[in-house]
Amino acid sequence: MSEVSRVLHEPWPSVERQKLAVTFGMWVFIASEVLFFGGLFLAYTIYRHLDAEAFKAAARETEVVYGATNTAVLLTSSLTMAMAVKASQEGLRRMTLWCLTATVALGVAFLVIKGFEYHSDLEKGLWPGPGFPLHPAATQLFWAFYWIATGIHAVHLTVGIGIVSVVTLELKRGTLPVEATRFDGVALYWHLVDTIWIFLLPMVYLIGRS
Amino acid sequence: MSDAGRNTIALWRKPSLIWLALMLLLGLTVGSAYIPLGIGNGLINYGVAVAKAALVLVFFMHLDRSRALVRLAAMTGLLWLVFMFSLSFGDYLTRDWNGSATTLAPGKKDLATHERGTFPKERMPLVPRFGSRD
Repeated sequence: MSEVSRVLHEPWPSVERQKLAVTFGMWVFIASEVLFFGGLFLAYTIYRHLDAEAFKAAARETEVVYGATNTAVLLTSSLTMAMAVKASQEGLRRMTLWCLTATVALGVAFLVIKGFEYHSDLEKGLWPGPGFPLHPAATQLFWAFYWIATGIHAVHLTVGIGIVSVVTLELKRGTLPVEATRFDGVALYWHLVDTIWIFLLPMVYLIGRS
Repeated sequence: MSDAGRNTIALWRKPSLIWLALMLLLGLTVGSAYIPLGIGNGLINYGVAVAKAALVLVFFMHLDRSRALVRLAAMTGLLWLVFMFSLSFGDYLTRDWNGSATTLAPGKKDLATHERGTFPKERMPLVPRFGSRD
C-alpha cells in the first residue's frame, strides 16, 4: 500500500484537501471553545468590575509560583507540539515520536504541579462555602471562578494528553503514518488549551500583586 | 555534521525563537505584576497575554500560512467574543446601581460605596451585592 493511500481517507479527493478540512474543522470547534471559555471570562470580568477590591484580595491568595511555572511548562509543551507537526511534515518519524512524547510528559507535569497547587489551596480552606477564610464575601466569587476555570482547563488538558498519547502510540506501532493529517488537528487543540491558560495567568495569578 | 542533523537544527530555529519570546513575555508579565503601576499593571498583563496568544496563534497554529477560509474560521470565535463582551458591558457600565461608569442618579455621592440609586425596589439589580452584606 502506498503512503498516500494510507494517509488519505474518504471522502477527500487529495491529501491537501483533507488537510484543509482537518484544520478548518478544528478551527470551527476552537471558535466554539473560545465562546465557551469566553462566557466564563465575561462572568469573571463583570464580577471583578463590580467588586474590584474583593477580587484583588482574593487573587493575592493564589499560588503565583505554581501558576507561573505551569505557564512555562505549557508554553514549552506548545513548542514540542509545534515541532512534532514540523517533524511529521518532514517525514522524520523518530523526531515526531520524541516531540509527541515530550508534549505528553509536559502535559502530565502541568497536572502534577496543579495537583500540588490544589492541595495547598485546600489546606488554606479556599473552597467557597461556609467558613470561607477571606472577606468580603465576594472573594468567594473569585475562588468559585478559580476552581471552575482551572478545573475545566485541566479537563481539557487531560483530554489533550489522552489524544496525543493515542496518536503517539499509533505512530509507534506503525498504524498511523508519519505524514498523517491527524497531527495538525491534534496540535491545534493542544495550542488552544495553552492559549486559554495564557489568559488565565493574569486573571487568576497576577491581579492584586503590586 | 550530517545533512540530517543540520536539517533538524534548521527546523528548530524559528519555533525556538518564538518559544524564547514567549518566555521573555512571561517574565515581563510576572515581574511587572509586583511593581505598582496602577492601571499600567492591567494593561501590561493583558497586553502581554494578547501578545503571547498572538504568537501561538500565528506561528504555532500556523495562521501565518493558512488559507483565507481557515483564517476566517479562526476569527469567528473572536468576533462573537467581542460582541458578547461589548453588549454585556454596554449594559453593566450604563446602570448606576451597578457601579456604573456613566452619570449617577441625582443625589448619589460616591461610585465606590455601591449604594443603590434612586430606582424603585422592583427595578433593583439582578446581581446581588455581596460586598455590602459583610
